[in-house]
Amino acid sequence: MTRPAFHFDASACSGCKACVIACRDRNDLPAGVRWRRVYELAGGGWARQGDAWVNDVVAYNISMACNHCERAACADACPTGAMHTRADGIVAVDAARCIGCRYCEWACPYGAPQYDAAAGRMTKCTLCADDLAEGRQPACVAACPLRALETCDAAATPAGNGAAPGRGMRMQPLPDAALTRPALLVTPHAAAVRPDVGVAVANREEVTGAAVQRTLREPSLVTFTLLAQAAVGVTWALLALRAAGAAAGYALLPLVGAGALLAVGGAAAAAHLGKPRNAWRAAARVRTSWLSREIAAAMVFAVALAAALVAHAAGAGEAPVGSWLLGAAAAGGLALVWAMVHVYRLPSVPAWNTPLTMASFALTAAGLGALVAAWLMALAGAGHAWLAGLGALGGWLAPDAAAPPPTTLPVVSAAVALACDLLLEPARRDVRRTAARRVDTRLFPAAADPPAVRGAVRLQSASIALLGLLLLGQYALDRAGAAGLATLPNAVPAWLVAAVTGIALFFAAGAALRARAGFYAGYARIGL
Amino acid sequence: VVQASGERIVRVGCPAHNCGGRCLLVAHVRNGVITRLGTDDRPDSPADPQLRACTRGRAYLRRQYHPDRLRYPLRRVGRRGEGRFERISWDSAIDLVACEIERVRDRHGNGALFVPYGTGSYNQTNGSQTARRLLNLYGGCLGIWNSYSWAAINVATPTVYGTLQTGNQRQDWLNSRYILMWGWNPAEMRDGTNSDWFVKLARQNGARTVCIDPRMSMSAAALADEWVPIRPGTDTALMTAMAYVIITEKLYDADFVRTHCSGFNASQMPPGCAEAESYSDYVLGSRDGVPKTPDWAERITAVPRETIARLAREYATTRPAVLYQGYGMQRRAYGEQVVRAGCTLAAITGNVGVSGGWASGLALQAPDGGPFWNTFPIGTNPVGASIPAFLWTEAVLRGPELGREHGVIFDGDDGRSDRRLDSSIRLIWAVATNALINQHANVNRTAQILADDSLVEFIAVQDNFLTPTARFADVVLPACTQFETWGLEDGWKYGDEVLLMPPLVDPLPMTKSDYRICAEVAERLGIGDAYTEGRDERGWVEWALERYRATRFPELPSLDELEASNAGVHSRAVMTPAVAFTDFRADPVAHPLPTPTGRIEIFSQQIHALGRPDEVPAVPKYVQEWESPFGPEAERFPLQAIGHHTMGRVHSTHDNNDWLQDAFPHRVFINELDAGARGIRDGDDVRVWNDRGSMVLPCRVTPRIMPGVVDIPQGAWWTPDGDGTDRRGCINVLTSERWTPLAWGNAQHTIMVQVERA
Repeated sequence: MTRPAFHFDASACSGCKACVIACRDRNDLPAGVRWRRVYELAGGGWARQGDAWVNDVVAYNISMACNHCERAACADACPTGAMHTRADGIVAVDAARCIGCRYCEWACPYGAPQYDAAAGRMTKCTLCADDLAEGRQPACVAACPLRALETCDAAATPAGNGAAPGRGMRMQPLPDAALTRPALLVTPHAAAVRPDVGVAVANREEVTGAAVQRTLREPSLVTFTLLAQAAVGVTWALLALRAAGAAAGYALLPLVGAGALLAVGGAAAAAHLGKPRNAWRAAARVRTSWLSREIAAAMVFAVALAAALVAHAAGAGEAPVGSWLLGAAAAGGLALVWAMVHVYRLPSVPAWNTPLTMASFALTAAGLGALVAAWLMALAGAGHAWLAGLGALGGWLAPDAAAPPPTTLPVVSAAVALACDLLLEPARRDVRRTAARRVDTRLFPAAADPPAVRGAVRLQSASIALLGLLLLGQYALDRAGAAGLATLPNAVPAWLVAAVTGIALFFAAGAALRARAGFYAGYARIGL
Repeated sequence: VVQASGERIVRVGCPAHNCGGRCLLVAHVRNGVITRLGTDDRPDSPADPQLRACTRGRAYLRRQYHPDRLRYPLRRVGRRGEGRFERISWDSAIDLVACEIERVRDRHGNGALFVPYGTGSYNQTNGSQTARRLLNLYGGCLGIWNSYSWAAINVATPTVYGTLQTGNQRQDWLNSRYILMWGWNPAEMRDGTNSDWFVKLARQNGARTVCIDPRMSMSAAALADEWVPIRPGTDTALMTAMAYVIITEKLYDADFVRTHCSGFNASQMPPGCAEAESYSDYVLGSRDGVPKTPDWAERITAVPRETIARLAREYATTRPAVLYQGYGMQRRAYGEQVVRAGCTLAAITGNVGVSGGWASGLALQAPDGGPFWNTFPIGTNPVGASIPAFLWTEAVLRGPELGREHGVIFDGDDGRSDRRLDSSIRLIWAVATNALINQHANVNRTAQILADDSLVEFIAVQDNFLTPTARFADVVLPACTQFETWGLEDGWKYGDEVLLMPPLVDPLPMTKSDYRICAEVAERLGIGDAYTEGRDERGWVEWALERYRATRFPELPSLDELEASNAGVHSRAVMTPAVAFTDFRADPVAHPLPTPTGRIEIFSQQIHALGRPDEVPAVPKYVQEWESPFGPEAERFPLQAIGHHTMGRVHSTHDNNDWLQDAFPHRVFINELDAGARGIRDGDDVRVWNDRGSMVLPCRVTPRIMPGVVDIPQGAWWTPDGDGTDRRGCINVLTSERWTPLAWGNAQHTIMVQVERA
């Protein structure tokens, strides 16, 4: 069976963009939606030699649409199945199913999926399938004045970047063909295989969609990932307390808090979709898409969390059912964090595709969650008055005031998690640097060390120091009480714990926010 | 052809604007609207290639349906050039134009009427020739000769070969083993549809290709094995040093030189010039004491001496070879020299009259000169005086002073008369041209001249848009596009085809074809019948087809047949490409060239007789330009500015096309070293200026242009702010109106500038 493929002769492409314009006209593409793009690669420099100028300048062009890959990273990523491979091998978007999450855009190392902001969905090259079916060439191929673009049969030719018959060359900066098995045959430009001269995309503004630059939805995704992870961490902290034998009375307010965090985070996540009303489709592809798995895990977590909350509210917090439900929520949360990590473990994004993403997400969850739990418990312990002000609801949330809130364990866990996270910072910096080198095409200017991250380190250190002070104070008071110094209370009052953990949480959240923004700013895709 | 969907598919020649291509579009028309443009879908072969439209043609619908299209006639209400207009009816517009023509003719004579150079619409029935015919029938007007494109090459090529027809059919490039693309960028400027593709095929056939250009152009990247950057305006120095190597290493074709050339050395000087300096004398420095060695040329050109020597050896020994001259380097000070020097290299290496070789020079196509450009009969001009196209501002300022020494050609003149023009230009009818302000040199000077309505008393502008030229109009006449009326075109310089342009859609309401507008003015002037001869636009297309049938294409179908077939094009396959000068090569005595000696004139006796050896030497010489990095002007303005033909425009046409601007944003290109020294980063807005003007535009910092040179793609629409700074980047605010010494041609690429962060 034949499978249509592009054959691009880079050695004869002038970069005239007739293909781009023909595609735009043929497919009525709005501004900024570029199904086909021509990347200008340039590199090298100049030096004086006597009265002459000498140079090692190289320049060539890559005309790129969609390569209708055999292992389409976009289709694998798609949470709804909107992005799919047709029987004839053409990778296509089912517009009705697309939710506009733009996850495929991250996954594709060729920049093929193109977001139509007005329509709120992804679009892409169709290979002019209807023309092909009637024996005509795609618009771009028919347009090429230098006949440098053709179609061929991917089944008959060895597909691969730069794998022109008889030559085992690879062309900068195309990704390894093994990644997605593109239906693309490239005849390389002589300058493209010179190892001594680095090249970079010189015409970034001409090839990126108008909407692509800095619209990677960081604000909503930063919000979603941080709040959801904090919610997960709350359940972990409560489960740990339960395991340590703490009473369940103080768990109710943290559980309510976790629910609120998850609800706000979920709303933020939905807000970045082009078609929020289609969000319900997002869990449709749990078999292939980590994004679907993330959504599914989030749902499981939400249900378990709600059930645990109901059990605790009904006074069954210390009953086995309450413990089991709390355990279920914590397990669901673990699955959610696991799925979240894998959403970002994209082979196309080296800065994300590292074990450090797992470490970072898990430690953020543990650190923020434990702090949230400690803070809310301390608030509850100190705040009978304001809880009473809530009337019946306050009574419901009010724990048994006889015992002090069990905040020591969460505070210790938070301090340890935040400190571990901080210790990983040099490793993360290394990863960012290496990744930036790998993808230095100037197409996605990979910030080796985003300024946000430096601020994050300071804030995180401050919160750890605060927590350390709190623990030291607690320890000192315990020792003082034990020494019989009766004039002093034998425990730090709940209001002080609430205040200190609150401030530490504020710093830690700020640090997490900056670090997470830096994480997204580190987005730099290999390929084009 | 009407599809089941109600869609009409029409094959149509791509609207012509003096790009270097003539291509075929396949238009999809539905409910009176063009919805899509495809391109040539006929079988494709080197003998009869598809005429694939370029980026500009493919983006044409953005021009056709541009919201800024002129929709009704306008009359100026503010000061001239201010750009304030009011709507008027067609009746008053036509009356106004006719009355002014009559009034100025009565007051100043026909020689005061002028239709300027312009190619904004450029097929057989659309464009300025329609107005020229009208004025010629009305007693004449001041004529023009030469062009802004090929001024020096038009004049210099015949001084060597006696003819402009020095080119082989392009299929013959496939027989070449070496191609020097000298300042030639066919992939972007389109020097003939498919010229870039033929170079690609030649390369596939084994030819080595070298591109000599200050920029690593699109053609250098796609078509060349090697790029040799050269300081602008010094190409003749490189050619001369190549000749030095070729002569001293005896790599030239001595037999061919002996039998076919004149003036190569002292042994073959024409009669009466035995004592004059021969080409070898100049190259070897036997008179001036300066041998034109690669070392000498390295200092001038910035090309390493080893590269110069290697190029010379490669070109002289890898035969047959093509030395193809681009046109940018002849739009410079002393632009005639580079043309003569290139032809000389071709001649002494014996690449003339052989398959796979190339005589250089303008290279109109053998065997018949190629396409016609214009068949529409403009008649004879009773005024009988033509100025060089580039000198029209002189004719505005001081017409009665202008004579032969300013390049004025008087019909029937014996070459010795002291005739002067009868009048200065007092009325301008600018049809399909933006050369009145935007494309003419030194915009700020021209604007001052045009704004003074005591000089030119009336300006009518006829166009699709309110161009910078139209802003200086007293009356603006809205023309329809070439998609909205009949037209016909043939190739541009090269090609063996005729393209039909049937109207695709109705004209925008209140717009008319160039021909219709002129016919209505003619009617008011009482010469309507003489003008139309009873024909409409289609009638003239039929008339032009007859001309083709009587000459190049005897087999051409009738208009009815062509239209019914919906082929859009009639082409003839080139199975055996013609080679120029084959007869001459075979027997120079029996088939002499139309030069005074009958030979290839490396030394030109005619030029020698002018007695201006410093500016116009009799053998091709490198002459330092009047603005150059070697002159005192370089202290204040250290950078050379060139203005290449960008894919985003055809001259100034399409500058308002958003798709093309998206694909090729307008900006100044500057080398990394020059940018770094000025604290300029890629994408910054920069100011580019010299004593003639100033502009602010974004920059692209790139290694693809040599240090010391900036490139401002020509054709952006002049958009002055309150201070007179151009905010768009029209290179002509920086260029000079000084003309070349032999051809009175534009030297617009010879400019020095300074750049700083804006």
